Amino acid sequence: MIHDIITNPYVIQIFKAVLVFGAVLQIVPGLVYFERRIAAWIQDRVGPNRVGPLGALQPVADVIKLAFKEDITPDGADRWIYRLAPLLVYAPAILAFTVIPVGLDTQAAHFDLGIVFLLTVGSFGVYGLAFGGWASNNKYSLIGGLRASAQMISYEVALGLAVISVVMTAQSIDLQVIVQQQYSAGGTLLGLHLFGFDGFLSWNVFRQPLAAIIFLIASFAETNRLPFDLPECEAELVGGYHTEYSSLKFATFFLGEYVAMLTMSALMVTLFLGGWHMPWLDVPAVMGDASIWTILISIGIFTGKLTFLLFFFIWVRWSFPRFRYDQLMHLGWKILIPLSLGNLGLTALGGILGWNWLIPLPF
Amino acid sequence: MSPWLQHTSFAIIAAIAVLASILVVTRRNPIYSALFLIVLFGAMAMIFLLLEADFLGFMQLLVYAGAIMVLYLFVIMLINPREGDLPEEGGAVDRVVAGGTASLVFCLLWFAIHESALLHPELPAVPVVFPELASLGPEHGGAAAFGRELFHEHLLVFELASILILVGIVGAVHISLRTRRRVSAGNGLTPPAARAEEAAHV
Repeated sequence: MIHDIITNPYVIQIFKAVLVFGAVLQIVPGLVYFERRIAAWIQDRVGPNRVGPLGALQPVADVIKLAFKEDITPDGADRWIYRLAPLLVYAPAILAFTVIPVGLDTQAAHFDLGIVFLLTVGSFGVYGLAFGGWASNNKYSLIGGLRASAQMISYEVALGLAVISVVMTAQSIDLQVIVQQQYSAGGTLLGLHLFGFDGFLSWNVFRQPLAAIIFLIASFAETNRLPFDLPECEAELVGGYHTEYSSLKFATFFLGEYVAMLTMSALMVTLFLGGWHMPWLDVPAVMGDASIWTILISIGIFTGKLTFLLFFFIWVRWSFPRFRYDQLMHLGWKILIPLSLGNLGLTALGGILGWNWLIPLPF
Repeated sequence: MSPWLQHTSFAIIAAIAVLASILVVTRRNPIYSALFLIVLFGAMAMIFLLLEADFLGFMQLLVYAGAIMVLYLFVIMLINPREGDLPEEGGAVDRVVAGGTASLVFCLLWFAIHESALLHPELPAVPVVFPELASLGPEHGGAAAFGRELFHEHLLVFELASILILVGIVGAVHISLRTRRRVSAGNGLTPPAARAEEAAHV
């Protein structure tokens, strides 16, 4: 009876969904703490250190503080859209995370159109910012919302083109296949075994270096992190689109932003950094193909890479000043998009001519 | 998916789509119209998914709901109309003309669907929503099948559409360059004074 219930495919699907949801929700407070500690370290100050050991319970205190704040809806705000907006930021980000393969054959939802689904759902995040900015009935919020929609639509083009270059290299839009292709190609360079399971040179970051850089820059813009945090830009717009939000509505916006950062980093790991592949270690062969250890170790490797990228996001945020808006648009439209188009053309040409020098491409 | 589930899902999604499209044209506030148009695109994408045209469904969302509607919203927010700023809607004549045109298009569509080869006479009298799904292969709806169809069978149409878009881009560049050329006589850069002048002119 119980065995029937736990092996029912619907129950397994629901379990996976709850697991991903719970895991992502648990990571975010940790990430906020991580960010505050690293920020303090970079700026040579102490940071949160009062609540719990080394201040580790600070996120709990923050959440309690946020939950007990007064929930204000400004006069003249559009009530319905004002309430809807935070959810529109948060839901797409967490939904997009479900298709990312976090370990060997481990993802909440596996289907062939993984990357298309991810880009589609990810592109919905902008509505929360735009609607939130408009519904608050505040000039600063409105400008924040406007900037968010213009910025995200501009950088989405470059991001999408960079992803297409990777898709062309992998010849698949299935995220599992894109990961597999990064460790399955063999070969040697100057007599050294550095490809496939024996190294890291077959990761897409080395096959598509330009696409990786473009993707990285565009993902900063897509997640509204410094140096591209113009939609919130506290120096000139108070808080941008979430100026008027308080209490748990603000917390939901905040959560959505961090989940979006997590999803973008996870996508970067999947597309460019070999997913759960560890150089010089063939995890399925050592641990057995379907053993629970294989899955746990692969999730561990993925998490390690993810942590590094999240650290990178935070590192950049506390190291660079904000761009000016015209500089942002110039970079997006006149530099990144032509570069990514050129890279796409080069990839296509390489595919047709069968270039196979230096790096073993799978065509 | 069982036929019953398929029919029920279709009925619900179609009802949402019809309701959303009515709300798009009846809301006075354009932000709400945009919101319901996004809902409508979502419902249409769901219908594509029901038809097992997965790739097309996601493209519908990615292109229309994810990109084009953001630009619509951008323009609406830039103008930022509030209640009271909105002009009075057209009179009785406008309504009759609009309603008549809409009914005409609806009748044409009804006729086209009714006469189409999809509804074969030999099929049962109960209207079958997706009569041909059973005959399609497992590849149907995937990106590969979609691409093959688009670039083999419909290449000419595809190229024509690309040219149309190219013309649009050239037009947009021309319009934006004309403004700049008038302001700064040929040095390529817009000096602050000229920019202020342009703003005053606009």
